[in-house]
Amino acid sequence: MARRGDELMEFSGSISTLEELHALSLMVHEVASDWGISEKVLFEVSLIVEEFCSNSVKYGGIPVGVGIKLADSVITIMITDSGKPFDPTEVAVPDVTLPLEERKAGGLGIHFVNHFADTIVYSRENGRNILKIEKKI
Amino acid sequence: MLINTSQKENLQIVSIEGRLDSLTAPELELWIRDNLASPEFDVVMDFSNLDYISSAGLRVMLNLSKAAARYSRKFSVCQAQDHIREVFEISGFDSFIPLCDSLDDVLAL
Repeated sequence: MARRGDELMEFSGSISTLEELHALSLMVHEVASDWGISEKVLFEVSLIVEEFCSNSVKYGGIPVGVGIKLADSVITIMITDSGKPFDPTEVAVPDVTLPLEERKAGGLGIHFVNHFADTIVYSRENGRNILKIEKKI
Repeated sequence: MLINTSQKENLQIVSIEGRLDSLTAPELELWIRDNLASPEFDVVMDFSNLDYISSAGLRVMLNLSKAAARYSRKFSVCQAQDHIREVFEISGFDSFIPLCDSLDDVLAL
């Protein structure tokens, strides 16, 4: 269990709509600021949560479970949904060197997560997609 | 998210305040469709009050960039905070969307 003093440095919630995802992001920002996380890292965590959760809300099984905790300078983000088996780590990343005429927007989300996360592990357990993302701070 | 627009010389300035995420990006997309479908001027997104952008927001920037190019208008972004600027760089979007520090820099493009 992650504690700093008496404070539990853990957050969990669940969302079913993009409105709830938006609200959850604001809540995560507020809670994790209290954990002493820098604005830059907060932004990156928020981005990771959004990129995976928005996909799950659109295509996966709702509600989407979101858990975030900070322990030993590692932020662990767990995202789970009951949708069809889907491993986002296998999504093709875009060629970011293409010129404007040839650029398409798809795949940027996973590209951001790959950039900002240290590890991303996908598993399928009990009919749920489980993503465990770790980020050292 | 709040959208404000103003004009300076031959430049339309669109200021976005708040978060440009998967919830709000479609609102901006609609606003662009209604107001900038065929841009009459060069366009700059003033991001000085933008706190957050995700791939959903980047998608809108890509579409706007393509629309501007079709009408031979310049499209740029100005005064983005460092973390916003970084996602443009990671996306490679900075190779076709100039990231300017000020409106004067945009006018000098």
